[in-house]
Amino acid sequence: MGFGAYIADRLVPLVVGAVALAFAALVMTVYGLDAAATAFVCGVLVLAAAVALLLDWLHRRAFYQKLSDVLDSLDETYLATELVGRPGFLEGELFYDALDRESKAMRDRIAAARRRSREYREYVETWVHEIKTPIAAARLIAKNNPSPVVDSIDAEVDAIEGYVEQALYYSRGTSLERDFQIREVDLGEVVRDALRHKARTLIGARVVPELGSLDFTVHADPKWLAFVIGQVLVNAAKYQGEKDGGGRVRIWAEREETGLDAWVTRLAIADDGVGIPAADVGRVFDKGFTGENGRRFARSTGMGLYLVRELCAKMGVDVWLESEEGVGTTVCLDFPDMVERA
Amino acid sequence: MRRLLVVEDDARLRDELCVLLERNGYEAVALTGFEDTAGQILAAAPDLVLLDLNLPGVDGQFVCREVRRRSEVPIVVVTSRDNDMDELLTLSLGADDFVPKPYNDQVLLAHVATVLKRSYGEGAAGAEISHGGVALDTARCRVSYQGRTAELTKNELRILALLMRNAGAVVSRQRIQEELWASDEFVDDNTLTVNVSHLRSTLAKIGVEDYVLTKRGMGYLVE
Repeated sequence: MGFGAYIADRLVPLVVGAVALAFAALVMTVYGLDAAATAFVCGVLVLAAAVALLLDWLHRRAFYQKLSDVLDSLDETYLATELVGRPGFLEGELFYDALDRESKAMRDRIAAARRRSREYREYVETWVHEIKTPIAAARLIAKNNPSPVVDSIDAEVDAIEGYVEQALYYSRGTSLERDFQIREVDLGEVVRDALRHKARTLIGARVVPELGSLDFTVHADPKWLAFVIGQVLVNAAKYQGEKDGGGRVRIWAEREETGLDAWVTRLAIADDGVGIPAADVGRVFDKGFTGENGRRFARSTGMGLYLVRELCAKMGVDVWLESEEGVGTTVCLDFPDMVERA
Repeated sequence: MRRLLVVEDDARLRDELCVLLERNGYEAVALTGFEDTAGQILAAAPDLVLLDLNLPGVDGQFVCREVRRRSEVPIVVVTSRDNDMDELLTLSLGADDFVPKPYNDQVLLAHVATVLKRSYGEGAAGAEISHGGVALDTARCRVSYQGRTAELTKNELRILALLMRNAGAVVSRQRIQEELWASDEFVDDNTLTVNVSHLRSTLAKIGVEDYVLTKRGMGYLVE
């Protein structure tokens, strides 16, 4: 709130005051008062008014300035009234009380929505855990009684398990709570874990991994990371295309300099599948995006890569991909160094 | 033969787990009632306990702690609660290992074998499988027939063990590949073919001919 704007806001009382002062000066002159005395009286009044305005302006400005600073510094601006005290002037108080009521109602609503979403998420977690027992039973029955029919049912159970897993990570990845734990993980271990986990899908699609150097430690949540890698591997299997002798998916890690003295550990997963049409490459991480490949090659929900991006973003991992139609797709996960430089 | 106790409330899963363990050279017993679970586990005195955490009326973590207080029996916890906190808590209560559901059968067996090995020493987990006069010593990676013995590579051992355990049934190539992948041998189709032909020539050296049969388009079979 600049002084000019403040004065402009008080134009009416100022004009009225100025007119009254001019009229008083006129009367004093008409009654034959000394010009110097008239000027003195007018000067005192003008000075008093100016001082009063200045003090009032400073007082109000302190409040508005604080409010605007707080608003700028907060992500959740509806919390501002909690941090700015009640001002000491009438309009400010009226305004403050109104704002406070409004934000209180907002906070209550947010709390209720948070609670509902947490309850829903807890339900999803419970449901996912419950369904794992019949899935585990079905898989063991299949393993104990191998036959071509049972094997193909087992493959479908595998698909169900995949979708259940996606649902679990969707509810975890989109939740407002932070329930993952970043720690040091051995990249090779997580990659092998994901490969074992998706073995059936990859073998079924005749896709075999070629592991390069994975001798790196990165910071991530191991379960989340294994899920992320698993989604990428499933895509490699899904969009393999028809090829004699099956496909390959090369997985390796390397150190990469991304800027001045800024290093990342990059995990690259490169398949030799059908690739992504250039028009679609920019949108594959979008929620629900299925694209041309989704229509042509496999049932696609448009959730896999979306979840990959969401979970990576939460873990502070940069994920991106390069693709060429007919050549293959390379998905890269960039893990920034956690070391704080002095 | 190692005696494994399965503590799992889902009847179907329990039965199938027992079948799986028995096929893999273990003796499997199961609890069917869950009153005084810890007491029952101790009374059964198994070589290893497979413990589900979600039991009716009793907390698996409590059972785990109770058993550990009175016995050193190895405990492998199997659960569908797969968050880090549960894992940590369970291990801190004295469980030896933690396998999340729904597990891959080979992964579960690998965990069991590792814990047995750690608790009872090398060779403890190895079960001898025999079928049609051929005996397989899984701990020493050896196959013997009529007094003659040959060494097998890890992959050959895994393939032969899988086929012998499922003797009489055709085992698909995919299934064999899955078994190998479960122990981080990410072999492709061609490597599998090579492994099988090596296995056959090793068997031929000790006088076993036509033991591993090829069922074209289906897989392999030990009759």
